[in-house]
Amino acid sequence: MTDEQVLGHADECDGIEEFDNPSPTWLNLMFLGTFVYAIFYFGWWHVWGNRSQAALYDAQVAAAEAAAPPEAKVALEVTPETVAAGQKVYTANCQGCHAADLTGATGPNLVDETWIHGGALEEIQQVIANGVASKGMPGWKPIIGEAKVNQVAAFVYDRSHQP
Amino acid sequence: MTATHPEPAGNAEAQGRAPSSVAYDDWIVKAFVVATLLWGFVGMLVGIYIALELPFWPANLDSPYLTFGRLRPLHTNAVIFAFAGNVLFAGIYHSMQRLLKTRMFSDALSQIHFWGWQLIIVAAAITLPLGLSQGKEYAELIWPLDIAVAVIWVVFAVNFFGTIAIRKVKHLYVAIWFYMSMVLTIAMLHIVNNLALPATLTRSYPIYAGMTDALVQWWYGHNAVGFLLTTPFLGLMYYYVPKTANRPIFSYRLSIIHFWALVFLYIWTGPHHLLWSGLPDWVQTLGVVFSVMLWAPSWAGMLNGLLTLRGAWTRLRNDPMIKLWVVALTFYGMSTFEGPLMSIRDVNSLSHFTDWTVGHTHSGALGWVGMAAFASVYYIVPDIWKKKLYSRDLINLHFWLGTAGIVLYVVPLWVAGITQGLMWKDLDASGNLVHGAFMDTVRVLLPLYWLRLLGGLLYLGGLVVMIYNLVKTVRGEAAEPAAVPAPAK
Amino acid sequence: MSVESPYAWHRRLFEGRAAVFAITATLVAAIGGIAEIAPMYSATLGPKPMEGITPYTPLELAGRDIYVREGCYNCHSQWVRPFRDEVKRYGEWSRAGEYAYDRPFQLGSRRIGPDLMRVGVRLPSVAWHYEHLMDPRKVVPQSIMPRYPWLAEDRLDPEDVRASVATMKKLGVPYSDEDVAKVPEQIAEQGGAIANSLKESGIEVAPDSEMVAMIAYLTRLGVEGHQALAAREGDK
Repeated sequence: MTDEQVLGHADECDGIEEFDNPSPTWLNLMFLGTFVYAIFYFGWWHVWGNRSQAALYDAQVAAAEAAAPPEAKVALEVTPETVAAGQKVYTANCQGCHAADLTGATGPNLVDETWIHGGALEEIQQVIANGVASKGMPGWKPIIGEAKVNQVAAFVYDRSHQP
Repeated sequence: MTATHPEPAGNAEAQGRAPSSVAYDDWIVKAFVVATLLWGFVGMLVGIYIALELPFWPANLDSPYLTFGRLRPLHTNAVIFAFAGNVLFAGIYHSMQRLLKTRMFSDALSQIHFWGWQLIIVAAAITLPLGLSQGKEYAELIWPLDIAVAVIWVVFAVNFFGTIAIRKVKHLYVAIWFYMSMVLTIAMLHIVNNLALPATLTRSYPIYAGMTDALVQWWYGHNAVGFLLTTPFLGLMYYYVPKTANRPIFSYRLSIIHFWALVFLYIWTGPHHLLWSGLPDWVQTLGVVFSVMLWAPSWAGMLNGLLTLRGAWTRLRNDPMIKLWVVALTFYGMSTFEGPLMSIRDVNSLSHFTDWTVGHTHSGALGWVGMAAFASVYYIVPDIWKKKLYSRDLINLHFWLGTAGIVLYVVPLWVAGITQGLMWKDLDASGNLVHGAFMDTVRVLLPLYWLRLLGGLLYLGGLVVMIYNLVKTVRGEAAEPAAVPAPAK
Repeated sequence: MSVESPYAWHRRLFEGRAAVFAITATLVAAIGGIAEIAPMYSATLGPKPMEGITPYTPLELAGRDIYVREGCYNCHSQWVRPFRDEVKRYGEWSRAGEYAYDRPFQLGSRRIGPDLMRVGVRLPSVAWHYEHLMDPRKVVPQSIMPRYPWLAEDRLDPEDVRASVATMKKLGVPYSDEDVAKVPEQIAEQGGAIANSLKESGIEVAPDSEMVAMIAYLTRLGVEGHQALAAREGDK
């Protein structure tokens, strides 16, 4: 660094001297590169690309629908498998309102004798799938999908029809 | 309360107009240093408390005044405007008088600035826990306080430009450029973002609605980072790094390029806080590309600092103040790489809304702003009080506590952010959420929150060591005359 | 030994002239903000209110002010991004026009808790919200959210709410003079309905309590947008 010379401004900088080294080449290239990226990326989205986040989302949904195998159908039936799977769904989504032991909290008790909307397996499944808007019960089919609705219906039916 | 410093020999004669000695106002610098340490401690302590509330909800104590939602704004406002703000004012009042070879334009304005700013901080510390808030992140203060901030800022600006007007040197050093851009741009950001119509004495509604309000807010929010936590701290760097290392600045021309590039590019980057939102796509894209373009100019600032220190590498081992600057500049470089990275749409889709963002903020805040502030204050205190520094070993201890604290803070939050981001996105083969219960994605974070709390405690511990060291310094023996010229009484 | 920099022009042009420097630096910094914010007010480039989105009722507005006061935005976003997982979890992704009457905006930046953009669609139960605000762990066992019991105790001041509605009206939110005049009646009516609904679940709370206002706000969040977007989907 012996060839470095200060600019001689120190008298105006409280004694601080300054070299005038050139900016490192790699930094200049990096700066230039980001400008090229900026122009290209903006153009790719808005000039020749005509991209939009709405279109991207629609494309992702379409691709997922095309690629994903149709959801494994879970028949609406009470089997040890559906009950076990339904219990997990219940713990994750339902016990907040209906309590871990299904005795109800802000949502009604599911294991007493009373069925507000009917206690048949199909009726339970319909209430879970479509909800009861006036009482604050959401329709779960769009949220968790039909398979899980069937599983949790099986679980609720099983627990509420214990001997 | 003032001291005179003899001019460097020969300069006054060469200039033919500067007086042979200037009586600097050191009282104002001392005042802002004390305020820095006090509010730094308070602000970080509140940070520790809210870091405890996350893994341990009973710490909210069922009290309206202590909930996370009310205390977090107190933490952010305290560390940004009280800690960082006061240290900037201390550094600016200290360095600009010496760089411009003149006492401040008006001591009265300096004191109004000091007491006004502290009063605003006290008012903020009272109103925010009371729930008096505008509800805009980093701009929570209610409208009467916003007006007070604007008034005090104008007082500061008049004093600042008045001092420039009566300067005894012709050319302005690079540190002054950065201070200048802060004084002007923060005024613009603060006023525009807070334009609102009052409904009551404590409540107002912004003149902007919905997405426009969001855009204005993040234009403000990101540039509070840019023009309060970055450019003026670079100004401090340009003064205290060459002073501490006793080395010339690496490159004058680099300082010109990165100054103008930062000032121009920074202001466009706000929309990167609103990627994948209802903001028009093209505004989002501007936020992305300007953030990426900001990478190189930011690194230019880091390099100019680090390469200035290059002549002092041998002192790196035993001079803890050089170490503080090296860590500060390294974290500046890391954060200004991470920031553009997180502004890329695809990365942002994972990182946004997670602790990765919080970790990023703190690697900049604790690493760059904090360490640069500490290094500056360690220079200022012995210089202003004319005392010998009490203990270099304690600075070394502070350095290690601080550095370990940052690592222990930032790394768990990276892990937390990426983990939670991936869990949210996880879809099974049939397109259903794997972690449908939100709480499943929170529970996994709790151990990491305890680690983060420990990191914060170490960092705060470092500050306590600093305060002890500086109190001992001020009460300790006077500096040797050779180190600092004896003040003329 | 000293040299002259090839950048000496900068020294002559700016560094010796503080006023020129200051004005130039301000203008350079102003460009980006103007370029991004001004188009928000253009009819073609800026966001437009979505059809079907109505202003908050006075009670809902009071609830929103409480949401702001408690700093809910520090942990909850109101912003569903256009990703499959977010739409699955939270409902339709957020459009700019849905926020038309939001002052201040409450998009949030960190989801310590879940997104609330469409919480009114997902959790329409007033009793659920009451229990959740009184003690979140009663309905979400592992929640880390604080309790908000004071909301059930503290009452609204209708004149205070009226000041808010009147201010919003001045800012251009389409409230009628009658809306402003009848703020206390509106609070009593909507608050009474919610309080009655809570009573059916065995919960006693005053119709003019902050709790009721908060529930009014939360249960309406995202509902209109959801309906408007569903109708749009139906048109296809």
